[in-house]
Amino acid sequence: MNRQAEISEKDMTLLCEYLDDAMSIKDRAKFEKRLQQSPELKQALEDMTALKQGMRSLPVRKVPHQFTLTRGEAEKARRGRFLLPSFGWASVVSMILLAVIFGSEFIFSNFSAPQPAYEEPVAMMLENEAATESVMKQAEEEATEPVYLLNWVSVGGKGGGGAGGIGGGGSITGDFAVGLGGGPVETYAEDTVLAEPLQAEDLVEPTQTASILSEEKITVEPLIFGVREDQLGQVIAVQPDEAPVPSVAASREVVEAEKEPLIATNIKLILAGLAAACGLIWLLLRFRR
Amino acid sequence: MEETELIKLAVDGDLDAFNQLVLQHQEIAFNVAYRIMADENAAADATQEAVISMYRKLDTYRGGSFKSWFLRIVTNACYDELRRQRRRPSVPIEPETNDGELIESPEWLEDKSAGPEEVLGTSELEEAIQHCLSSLDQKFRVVITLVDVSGEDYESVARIIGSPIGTVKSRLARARQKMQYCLQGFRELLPDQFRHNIEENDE
Repeated sequence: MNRQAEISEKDMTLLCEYLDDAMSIKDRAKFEKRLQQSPELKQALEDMTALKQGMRSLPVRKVPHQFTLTRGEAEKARRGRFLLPSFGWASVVSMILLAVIFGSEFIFSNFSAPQPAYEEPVAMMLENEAATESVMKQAEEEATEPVYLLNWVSVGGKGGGGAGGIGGGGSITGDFAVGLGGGPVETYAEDTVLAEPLQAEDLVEPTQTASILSEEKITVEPLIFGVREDQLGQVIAVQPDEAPVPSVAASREVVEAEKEPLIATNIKLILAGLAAACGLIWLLLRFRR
Repeated sequence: MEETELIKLAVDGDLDAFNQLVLQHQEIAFNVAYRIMADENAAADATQEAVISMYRKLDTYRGGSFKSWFLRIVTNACYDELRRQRRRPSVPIEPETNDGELIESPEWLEDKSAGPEEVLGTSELEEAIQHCLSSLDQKFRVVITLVDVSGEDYESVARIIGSPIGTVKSRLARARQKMQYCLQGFRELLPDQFRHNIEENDE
């Protein structure tokens, strides 16, 4: 049986250290004691010594030629000195920049606080929706009573008023007037005619009104044209067109669309291209060597 | 001129000083490369590459043993050369002409290895050792070559291969163990001392 198999790896390491004189004096004395007690270890040491002598006795090969550099070779070596690292570093820097850009965009889009400038319209709309619901209810209740619109012969003037009871609200926004729930009129101004009472369905939807009000840019057709002289005795009520009321979802889309990336896509593409090109050149140069 | 002075001049761009340093260490560098590569041409290529690489990296030399630094570059060049050899496809043994006919006695088939007279001159022990050395894994081959052929101490080897001393010790122990196993197959070729030890082990 081979005795070497009985020698553990740890003992082999110790044998090497002993043989190569890499042990401290204390450890060496300790190991020498073990060597005297263990013939296997002693034999292994002899084998290893023989191997080392054999390796050391290998003839020294003469160099086939001088490895010194000529001026030309030195110049060439100097020229290529910065080429490979330059492309390597350019590729690495581009990749780091890309990583930083994508990382920061990811962080900003996922972990930053909501931006009030963008979120405000949505919040306002949510509030308006809640508010308009209550107004709707109130309006429905009041609509059971007859509603009158008074012509004060002032086109584009004040909104409907109320007398004797619950006064209707009036508002003027340019040529847009809304009158709600006015009570029965007991006094009549000159040239005024009582208008036909409005039905509940004729009322302007408060939801629409609230939404429209929240959007400044939306132009709304006049709800009521003033009663002209030739139209005395008539009330012309114009239902507002089905103006596109920006829903909450649509507003969110607008908010998303307004979120532009921090860095332009072109720059990202250029960086990615640069990283790939420099990396490829670096690889080519490296393998050509 | 002393080595430190030569190094200083070489770092400053003095090519003659650099070449002086190369001349001082080229033999050990080539021999280490030869034992690792087991081929003279490949070893020469690796050594030349190492010299060029050393010239480029002169400004990164931070003191310490110049020989160790050079050998580190040489071993890295050997690793690169071995990788390159693995990547290159081997030449077909029977080359054909464009017409698909076999080329008879092509020039490249000429045996450029040592002739009978040269073989007689080479040591059988060297052949056996080189064969076993070549059969070792690269990482073991490098360590045993640096310690037993180049005569480097453990700390130098650790610096050269860029590993802790513990790794050097364990790799060396395993390399020597593997070499001993391998050399058992060459008992007839080995000198008396080897044969005696192996026979004793077999009893």
